[in-house]
Amino acid sequence: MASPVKVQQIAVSDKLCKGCYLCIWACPWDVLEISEERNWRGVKKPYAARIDQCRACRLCEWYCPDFALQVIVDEKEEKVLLEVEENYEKPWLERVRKRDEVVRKGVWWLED
Amino acid sequence: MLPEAEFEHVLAKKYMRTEIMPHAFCPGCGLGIIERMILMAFEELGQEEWDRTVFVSGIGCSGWTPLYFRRDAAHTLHGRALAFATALKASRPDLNVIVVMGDGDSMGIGGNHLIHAARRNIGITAIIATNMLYSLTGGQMSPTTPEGAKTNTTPYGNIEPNFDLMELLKAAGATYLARWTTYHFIQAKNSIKKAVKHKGFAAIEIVFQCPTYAGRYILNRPDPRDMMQWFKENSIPLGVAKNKSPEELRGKIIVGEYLHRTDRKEYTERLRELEERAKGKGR
Repeated sequence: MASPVKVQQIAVSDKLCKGCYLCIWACPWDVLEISEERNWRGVKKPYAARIDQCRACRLCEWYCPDFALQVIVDEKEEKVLLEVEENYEKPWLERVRKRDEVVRKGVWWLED
Repeated sequence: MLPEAEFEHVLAKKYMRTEIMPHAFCPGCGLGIIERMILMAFEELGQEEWDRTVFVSGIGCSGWTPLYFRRDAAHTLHGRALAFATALKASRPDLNVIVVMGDGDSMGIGGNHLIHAARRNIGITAIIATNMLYSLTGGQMSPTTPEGAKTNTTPYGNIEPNFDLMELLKAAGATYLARWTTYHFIQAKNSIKKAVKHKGFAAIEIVFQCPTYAGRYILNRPDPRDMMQWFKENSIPLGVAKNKSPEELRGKIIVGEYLHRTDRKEYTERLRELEERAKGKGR
């Protein structure tokens, strides 16, 4: 399934990546894959195999413990993303948060 | 396209000493994620807050975390991080003092300092990174090791029950308490933001993965991905845990924001009042 967001590159550092593959675990869209060749540090780095599926949710970036990975989106695309977040996602999330806070004092997005 | 050979992350470029990176941590260690939580919290709080922040850390793997930030940091004696931080806050109340501690610094060796800092309600933000054992020295049992867990020093299973840090600090008098795991990234980041703004002793316990020792010995999951999955499956939010029996909650991590009260006075405010009173009477 192609993504509506156009991601330019998922950059993985040669120097910083240690090969724990938490980024692959975190990705909900199955974008990253382990490369077959080792780099000069002896690490099989992850690379973006299916970049057209990437939606720039940046979960891989957040869960990377070594600051080795970055999702790079066009400036224009980034603007559109931020606009969508500001105008549509934020009010919606705010509404859900308020509703759930009333229902129970806990964490609203962690229901089982 | 960025070249991958000399690529630096935007956050790292802005806030961290990239010349001494990569980290000294094992592959998949959760301390890097905790660093990112702190940095993203400050990214949202703004440059002004970052400029008046000082980090204090103790000994252990967690003692390394603030040393990678381009900010003043004190790497202190084992277990005495809170003692140093208390002195710092008492002499410079305008600073944000953030203490990053591990199991040993907070509960084992420095347990006394922790409860007394909470009793004074001094405005320190304590980020307590627990990984269920002492990982720097080779996987010994610590106060947070769960009952029955096998470690290097308890090969037949741990016979001691573990600390419930949140209940301990609630009784001691802390005013902001939260517990998260590294899996709960956004929630922990928001908690850190709140704690930095909070006046009074704020403690955030973050359970992080140590694939090298906790994963191998305690959980039998040496892969960091499996450990994160375990956190995801075995953490229960506070609201849900209220309705469950103690048997169901055994071996689970109860996450959530435990306490946020504003009725207790902060220590440095009391100190200023005392100073004014003493000066007035002296003349």
